[in-house]
Amino acid sequence: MATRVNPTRMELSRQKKRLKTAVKGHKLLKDKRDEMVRQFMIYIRRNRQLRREVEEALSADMRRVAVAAARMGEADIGEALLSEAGGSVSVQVGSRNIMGVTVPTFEGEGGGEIRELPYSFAFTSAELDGAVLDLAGLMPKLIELAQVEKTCAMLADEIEKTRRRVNALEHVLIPETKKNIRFITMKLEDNERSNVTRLMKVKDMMLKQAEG
Amino acid sequence: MSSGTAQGSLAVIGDRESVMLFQVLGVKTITAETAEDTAKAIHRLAKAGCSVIYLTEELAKLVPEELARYQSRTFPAIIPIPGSKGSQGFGAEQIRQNIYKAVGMDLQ
Repeated sequence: MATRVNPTRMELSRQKKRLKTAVKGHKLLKDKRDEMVRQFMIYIRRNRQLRREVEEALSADMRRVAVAAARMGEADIGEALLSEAGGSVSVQVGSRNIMGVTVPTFEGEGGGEIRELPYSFAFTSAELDGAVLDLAGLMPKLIELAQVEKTCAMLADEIEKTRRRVNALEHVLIPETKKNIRFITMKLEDNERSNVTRLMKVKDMMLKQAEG
Repeated sequence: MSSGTAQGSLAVIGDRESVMLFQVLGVKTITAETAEDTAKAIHRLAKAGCSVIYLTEELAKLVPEELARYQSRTFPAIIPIPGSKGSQGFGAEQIRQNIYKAVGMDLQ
């Protein structure tokens, strides 16, 4: 990592400017990272809770379908469920900016209720009805889970990147620049001293010549 | 902070048993059993502008590259859900990984 720099005054002022920028950038990035982590913590808490709820409900639903399938027979249940859509779920999509990260927002509409079951009741079991209705009630949560989880994933990515940048500035660029500045200052001082001694020597010689 | 909203669509990819229920609700469903089918379905949905893709955990395990590829994009959001065999902790594992990435250590 021994980058050679010219020991000149111009280079010195350039390095000093660079150090100033790096320190300022480091502070800004660190603030950004801290705020992002704070936001992330809020979202991840919600994410965890939502996921637990959704997974529980969905697993229960799937079990009920399995029971229904056992009662009715695989073929019948397929027929009932594949008949036609009873409700319609659509979602409003937007985007939001959190600390420079574009995250999606999802807003479910018409997913919460299902007016009538699309199959005839004659050959279906009650478990199936329950499962379908439960899932309809779960849709808003599923949609919120999608939004929160995506937000968390994107924030986590960005936080990781920002942390890398902060570390690179803190442990590489800033020390490097400081080292360069010290090197140049020392070199310049050294030159100054050798200049002074040379002048003193010349003065001595001239004095001796004048006497002699 | 938020820009205008637009109409988006949902889709579910999974084995036949898992997606049946969603079909009743009018959610677009795609059945897939293999990694190849799943990857294809994801790409097709992403290209079609699908905004949320729910993927059963069993299939999500098969296509880590696809998940990683779409992780950094705003759309689509690919969300693992428990399939007909119940939850296997894949979703929770992803949350843990996100925390690890963000904080730099494993909490709890």
